[in-house]
Amino acid sequence: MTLVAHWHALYRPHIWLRGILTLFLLGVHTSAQTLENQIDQAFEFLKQGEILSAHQQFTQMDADYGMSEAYQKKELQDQLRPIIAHTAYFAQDFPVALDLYQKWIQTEKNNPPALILPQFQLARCYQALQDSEKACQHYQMVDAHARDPNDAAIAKLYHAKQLHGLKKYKDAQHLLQQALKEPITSALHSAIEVYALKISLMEEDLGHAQDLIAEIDWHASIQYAPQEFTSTLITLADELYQRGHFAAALECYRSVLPQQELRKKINQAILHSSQQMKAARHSNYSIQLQYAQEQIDFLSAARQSLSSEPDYSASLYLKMGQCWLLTSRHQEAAILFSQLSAANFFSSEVRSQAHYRWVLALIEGQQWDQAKACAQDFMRAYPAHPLQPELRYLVAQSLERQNKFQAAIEILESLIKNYPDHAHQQRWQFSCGYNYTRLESFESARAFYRSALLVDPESALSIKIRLWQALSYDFAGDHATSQTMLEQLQAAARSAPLYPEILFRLANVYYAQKAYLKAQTVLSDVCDQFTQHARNPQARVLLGDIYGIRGQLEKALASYRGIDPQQGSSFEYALFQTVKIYKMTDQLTPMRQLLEHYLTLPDAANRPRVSEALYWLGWSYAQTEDHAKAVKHFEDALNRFDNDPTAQAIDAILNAYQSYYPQSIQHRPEAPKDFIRWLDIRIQLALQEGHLTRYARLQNFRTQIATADTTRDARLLLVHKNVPVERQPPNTLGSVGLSLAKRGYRSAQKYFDYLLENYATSPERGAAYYGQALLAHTRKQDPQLALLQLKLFFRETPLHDCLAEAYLLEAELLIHIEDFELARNKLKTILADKRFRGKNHALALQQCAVLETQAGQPKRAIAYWQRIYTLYRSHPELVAEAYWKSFLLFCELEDYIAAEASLVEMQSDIRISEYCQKAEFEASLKKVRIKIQDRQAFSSAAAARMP
Amino acid sequence: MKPTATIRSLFIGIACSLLISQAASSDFNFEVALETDVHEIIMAELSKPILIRLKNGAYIIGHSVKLEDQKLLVGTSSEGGEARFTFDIHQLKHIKVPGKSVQKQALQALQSQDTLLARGILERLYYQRVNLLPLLSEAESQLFIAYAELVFAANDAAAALGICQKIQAQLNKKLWQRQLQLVILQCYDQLQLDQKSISLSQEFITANRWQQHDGLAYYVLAKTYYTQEAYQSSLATALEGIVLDTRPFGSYLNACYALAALSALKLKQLEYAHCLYSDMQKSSLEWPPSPNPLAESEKTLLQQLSEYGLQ
Repeated sequence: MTLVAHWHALYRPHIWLRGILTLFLLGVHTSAQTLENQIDQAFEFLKQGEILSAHQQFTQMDADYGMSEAYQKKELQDQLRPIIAHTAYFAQDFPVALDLYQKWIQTEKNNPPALILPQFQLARCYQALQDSEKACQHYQMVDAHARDPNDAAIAKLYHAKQLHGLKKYKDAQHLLQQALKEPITSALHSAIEVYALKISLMEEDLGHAQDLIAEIDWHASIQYAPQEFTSTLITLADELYQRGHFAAALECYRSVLPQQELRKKINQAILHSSQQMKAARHSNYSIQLQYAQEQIDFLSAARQSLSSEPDYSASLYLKMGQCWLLTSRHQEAAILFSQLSAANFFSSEVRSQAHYRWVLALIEGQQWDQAKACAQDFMRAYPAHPLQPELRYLVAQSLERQNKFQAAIEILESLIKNYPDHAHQQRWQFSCGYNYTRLESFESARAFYRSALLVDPESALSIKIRLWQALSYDFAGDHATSQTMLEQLQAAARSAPLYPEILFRLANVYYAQKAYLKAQTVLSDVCDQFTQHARNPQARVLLGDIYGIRGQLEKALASYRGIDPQQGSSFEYALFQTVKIYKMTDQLTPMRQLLEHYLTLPDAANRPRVSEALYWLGWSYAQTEDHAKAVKHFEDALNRFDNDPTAQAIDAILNAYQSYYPQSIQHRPEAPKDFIRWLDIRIQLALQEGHLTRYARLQNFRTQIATADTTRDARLLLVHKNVPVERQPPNTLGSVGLSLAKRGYRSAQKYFDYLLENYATSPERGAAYYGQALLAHTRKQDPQLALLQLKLFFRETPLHDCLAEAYLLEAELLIHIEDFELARNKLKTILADKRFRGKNHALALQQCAVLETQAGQPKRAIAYWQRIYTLYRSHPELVAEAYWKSFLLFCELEDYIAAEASLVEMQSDIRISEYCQKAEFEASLKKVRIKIQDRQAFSSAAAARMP
Repeated sequence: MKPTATIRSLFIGIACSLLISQAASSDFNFEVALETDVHEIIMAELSKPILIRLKNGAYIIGHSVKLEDQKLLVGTSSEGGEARFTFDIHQLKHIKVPGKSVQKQALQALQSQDTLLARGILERLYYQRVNLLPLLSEAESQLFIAYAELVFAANDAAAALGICQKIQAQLNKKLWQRQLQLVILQCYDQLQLDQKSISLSQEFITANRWQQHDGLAYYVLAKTYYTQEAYQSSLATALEGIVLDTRPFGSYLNACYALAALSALKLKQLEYAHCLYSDMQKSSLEWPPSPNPLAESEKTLLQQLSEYGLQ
């Protein structure tokens, strides 16, 4: 007896055999006493569940009495045969069982319903003897003759299993699908569904598997086939994951039972099958009983192996989280990973993996501070973890994305130093170079690019490194070197994925050097050859601009037209460039058509520059004196967009509306008579109705149109009080923020943060850079930080309204850090710039004077003050200060006569006197006159002493 | 055998425990009216005397029994009146309260989902033994979780909460405690006891985070945050419900999705709100129907999404 057979005999419950025995024993009559004893003995073994002993007993009985008349008696044989056959079958003596089942079939050949069970058992014997073809034939017979659809379906299921073994996958699937159409029990239906799914996966028929999973009854599958369904689902999910179908994989993972739950479900399924068997204990042995028994066997074995295997739940959750992450659902991923990392009942390895991925999810969600804190927690919790360098690199990347380049560099440099043999050395060195590039420390950047290339000059990354190496020269203004390097790279990287990017960058370098023809050629290549590349719309834009510069307006228009509305901001840029060309060439009709088309795009409501389009549409009608239409568009734009913080050109529309206001109210007697009144009413209403963005915009506009309005700052402070930052448009964020920053209020910072974070491409962010520089200077006393902010201002927003103020602040800061030479140069630049004529020049002269005073050059300083009070008398506050400072410097030089002259001259201008402290002024004048008198007296005395 | 004089007090002609006597009397108005014969059979069974066995071996047959401040008050029929005995509960060895067959009837009604009948039977059973529950086995109290659920389902959250509070102290098994907590949570939610909802759902989530459950606690917590306009918290909580509940169990998964989408909308995360709503549709999850308070919000969500071209 083999061990397997022994296990089989022990394992199988006895209920059904007892059921059969009860039925069969009732009719057994033998003539020979000893034969009867042997039969009794065999049955006793069966009652005890000793299948092997019973089988041996029957075999012995056949040997002993095989030829006896009593034993051969048909009645006895007909009753004994099924029992002996089943006993042989369960004792795994399949040849004997097979022979007996065949005999059984022979005796019942005229009674088809009675043939079903022996046919089925015969198929099972052939299956056990690995004769699949014959097994298939007999399952088919069962299927053909079974009256109960459940019997037929079971036969189909087993038949399908054999067919699959014979590599007839399609036939097997066909059979299973047929079985599923039968009116069968839910348990059987589920088993067939799950098996169909299982073999589709085994055959890598993923499409069919996904179709099946969409149709499957999940609840029933979990209830009746928990183990098979769970393992199949995991296999399917893993397969989908491997193939990059993360969303579909996630759907499957989410439906997998955690191990603890699976165990409960298996127990319930066993209970369910056992109850079925218990209910049928006194009925004939049947296919369905056989099937239920097998299910119990299978589930019991699964339960046993489940308790000896490690829990798969942790890995399931990790994979689930990874799917969330890979489907851009970082919020869900972060939640799952954070909970996993804190779940103490999972292993340290699982928790550390979860913690690492939690950081990834936070980075993906751009929750930088949380990501950094989370990463630091990881480093503390798992100091020797092999993922440490990867995590540090992630932190560096997150810092980089927050523009904290110096902090990123510190981490990268420590990685480069501490893990010299790490596989990511080249990437770290490249990243380090990139961060230095962003800091405009081009020499340091290039040093890292060079060393990165030495790590592996042939790697895929090396092309990118060489590209950035070349770009570092371009950014530094050395376009010629950049061009040479890009041309070399162009030749070397024709098959690289970065090739179109290299071409685009090369065209930009040509453009910067005004080599328009060369740029045009390269850009044409990008446009024609790489139609799907992300740079294609930008290349078209640049090509259009080049055609425009070269006066080829038709070609420019054609290039702009090639950009699809779905290609992001390039489309809007091209559209408004086209509008400009139409404006230049007085083509108002096509301009209107273009804008009207833009306004009727299916996603027009979501387009970023609709308000601007309405402005230009109104403007176009205004040009043809069609004021009604112009005003209609302006009013439409205002009503639709002035309460939208992201809408553009609202101030331009308000300006235009102001111009046409008198015409617009001609037929509206109830309208306010002047624009300012209209504006004030609208401001009040906006506040009352809670249209806070409108309120902020109009208040801001009000401060601009009335330059003499002394309440300018008060209006901005009202906006600060009434409108939360998220409801403010970029221009009021800038002006309110600056108004606060100039007063040194810390609350200005939230305006700048919001502006930079939410309007990353708005020109108004110049106000944020300048305002942050002011705060750094006045509140933090950090001139270097202030200079860094101004650097950003000059690079990112050189055309911002605060340009002059920014230059002046820069000079002030340079004086503060005593970099006098650079400050002098900067101030010279301001004074040479005609855009800053007037007060800004006077302020620059003021800085020059301060500089020279601090540099110990009072005479030079006096010269600057003199220029102020000579040339800028329309700014009495500056003139007053200039006189006063001159007076102080003259006193310092002990030139009291000149000092007195300064004060006397100052006194002579009534406008200036209001800027003086009268008492101090009088006292100073008195003092200086005494000094003059003293000096004169001294001179007289000295003269008198002269021989 | 009668109890000793030191523990005995006698009251003649005084009515016993009000509760039992009222419940047993024909003029007591039960919430659920049963058919007269059913009612009478049940009440006949429940009105049978209670058997009390003391540690000293004494037996008492009481017609009305009440527990008060660790004292057991037993009323027994006496000739022409009623005698009342008072014991310290430590003297008690065993108490046998009639009603086994009524319990069986209740279970059968529950199994056959005849909720009205089940509620009617359980109501009578509850009034019979509510004051004795501390003296009975834990399983006796467990049966009343189902009663509380039925009362809650009959739109009487306050009464259901009262029942839960009565039986809560008697339940020690974690599984039963969990069941009871969920009923209490539903009651808090219905009664808009926000602070209690928050603290109980937080407690429940912390204790059962990796257990499979239906997501009710996440839903209640997220909804409470949502009504308090703490949208970031409601989003995070609803998402946790979505993430940690695997699909076959999450009866509140749809409600969690709905709350997450609405919270995202409030937080101006329009695309994310759209994404969550699409997930619901792809997974054939129905928007919480009326009477769920979220039912009407679907229109608002869709309207706002469509204004931004997201539908």
